[in-house]
Amino acid sequence: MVKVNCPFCFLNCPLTIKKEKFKFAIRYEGPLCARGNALPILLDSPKRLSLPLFINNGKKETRSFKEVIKELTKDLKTYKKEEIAIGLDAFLKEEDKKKIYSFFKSFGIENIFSSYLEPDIFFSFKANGVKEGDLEKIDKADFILIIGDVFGSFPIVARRILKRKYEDKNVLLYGIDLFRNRASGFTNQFLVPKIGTELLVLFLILEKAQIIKTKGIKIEEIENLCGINPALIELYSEKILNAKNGLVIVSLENGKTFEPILYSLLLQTFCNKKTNLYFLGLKNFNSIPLDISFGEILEKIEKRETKLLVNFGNSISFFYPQVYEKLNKCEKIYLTSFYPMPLAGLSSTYFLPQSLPIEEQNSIPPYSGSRTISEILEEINFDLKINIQDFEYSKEKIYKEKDIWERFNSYLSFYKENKERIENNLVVVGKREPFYFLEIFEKDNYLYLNHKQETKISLPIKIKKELPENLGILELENLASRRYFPISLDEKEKFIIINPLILE
Amino acid sequence: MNERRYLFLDLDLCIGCRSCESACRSYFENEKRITINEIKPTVILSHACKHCEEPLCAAACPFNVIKRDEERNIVFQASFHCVGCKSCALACPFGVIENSLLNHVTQKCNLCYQNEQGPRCANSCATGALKFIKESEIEKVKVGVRYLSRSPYWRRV
Repeated sequence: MVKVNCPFCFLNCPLTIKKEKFKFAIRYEGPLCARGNALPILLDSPKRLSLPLFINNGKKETRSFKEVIKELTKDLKTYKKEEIAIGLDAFLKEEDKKKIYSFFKSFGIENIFSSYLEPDIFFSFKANGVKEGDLEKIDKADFILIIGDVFGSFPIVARRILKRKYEDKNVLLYGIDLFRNRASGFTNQFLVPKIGTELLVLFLILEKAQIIKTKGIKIEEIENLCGINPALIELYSEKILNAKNGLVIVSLENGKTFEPILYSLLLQTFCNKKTNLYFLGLKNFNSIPLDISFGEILEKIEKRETKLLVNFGNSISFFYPQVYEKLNKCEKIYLTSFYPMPLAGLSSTYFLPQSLPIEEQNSIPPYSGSRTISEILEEINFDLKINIQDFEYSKEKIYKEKDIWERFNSYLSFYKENKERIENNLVVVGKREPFYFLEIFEKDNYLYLNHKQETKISLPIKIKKELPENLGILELENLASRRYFPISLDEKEKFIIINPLILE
Repeated sequence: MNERRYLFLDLDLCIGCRSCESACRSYFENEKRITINEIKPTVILSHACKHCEEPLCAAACPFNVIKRDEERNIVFQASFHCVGCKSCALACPFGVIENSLLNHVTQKCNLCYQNEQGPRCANSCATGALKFIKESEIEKVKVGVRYLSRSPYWRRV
């Protein structure tokens, strides 16, 4: 029996893993969400990668671990330092991240980036003067504003919110999301803005509560664009101002907004010194925007400035066709992964089986053939002999009020220009559910949920063979189950953003 | 004889997070014995075997594979003798026995009686809505009396 912490979100719930009759099982030490419960499946899944793979123009070959490490160390020596980029994805422990960062920084590599694409990375972008809260604040809060599908994504946090709600009748629970989510059944008031207008609604609430001073923005025009009852906006702003011990809890996991950076920043503006509100952003993984962004790396690859790419973690971001189409221009790629990825289009790519963050030699042995981050780094260093020094990375980026309003103005003009397209073409369906159990797939031009039950969503779609430039398909293990995401590059931060679904 | 225990769902707390389903599925190798019912898009409740006093599934079973264990208060299935005729699935008035076969056997909840910690679904419940409680404790649990909200998806039952 091994005591571990669940690796699937920032809560790190404690649990005990035990081996029962040749399989892993959980011994409960408290509640767990669906993802945590699925952990044993992941530990001994026969689908996991056990041997390094080499993919070249669609051809797959297995290689030995030593061979691949030898090739990697040779490449690290051959290529110039500025031609190498190191990526850090999800499923990396904080200590592993530090190890990788310090290792390659000591080696002299500057291009270290975060390849984690989920929008919750944008909680690392802070609005100047934001008051940050923690889970303890829930127990004393008199007003809780739930943004996004907090109940669906973080049920353990939902437990705490509901406990508070039932403890004290006067506690107010307000919500905002693009669809009536699971929290809406429990809230006193729930606001559903039209897709694309959510940022404008947040702006109106801020303006009404006089938390911000606006210059040159016509309020009436924004009110007309949103189409939300002004009384509701007034109610929200009144409650925000009157809260004595309030909390804004945000999950940016499911409902993918156009401008996640701005969305997070506006919500943080709710929690400045003019209000008694605290900000709590719920993250899956503690991702940080490292030295350089993913978008900048892709641009460098296109210009042939980056020739060797090494990525640690889940490497799921490399599934997106738009990403891997550009990666084709990279001469050599090394990715660590749990599963063999169907990246048939790639050339000169090595896949190294990586163990899960909870798998270690003296607790749960790593999956057959897989290696921990420490082991991989040690093997690389056997040849390179780097004198490793400790390097610290910046964990957040502060946004001044002026920059926030600059972003808001550019979003407003984008919305005005694309209003019709946004309203007609965009539907949020890309809900991430406990993996494997609920998947979206396409069959006979209809979208379906869940393989077994085949629940049809009344959403006829036509999938074009030639996809528009900003649309990507995420192919899952089964080719019938695909997810469609438009991907855009944030012009200022050069971050890759996954937007709401476009169906044509 | 031990006091009877029941699997109990607090409707005021269930948020439909599928944690129970996931716990069951991950232990029983992808074949779950607890289902999630979507009453409305926002009202999703978990739903498992009621372990009836007079189980129709047991009556329907032609091979006497399903039996009621009075001591443990469970209706259990001796899977070894099951031939997978699906009669139990058709007879169950609650539709909790899935009409699909795993290893030629229908799957039925047995309240994880072999697990010393009790049913895995109740242990894992993220919000504490699903409880495994003693008969004497049932009356103490307040269900459906907590006010909820003014929202159209008001959940009092």
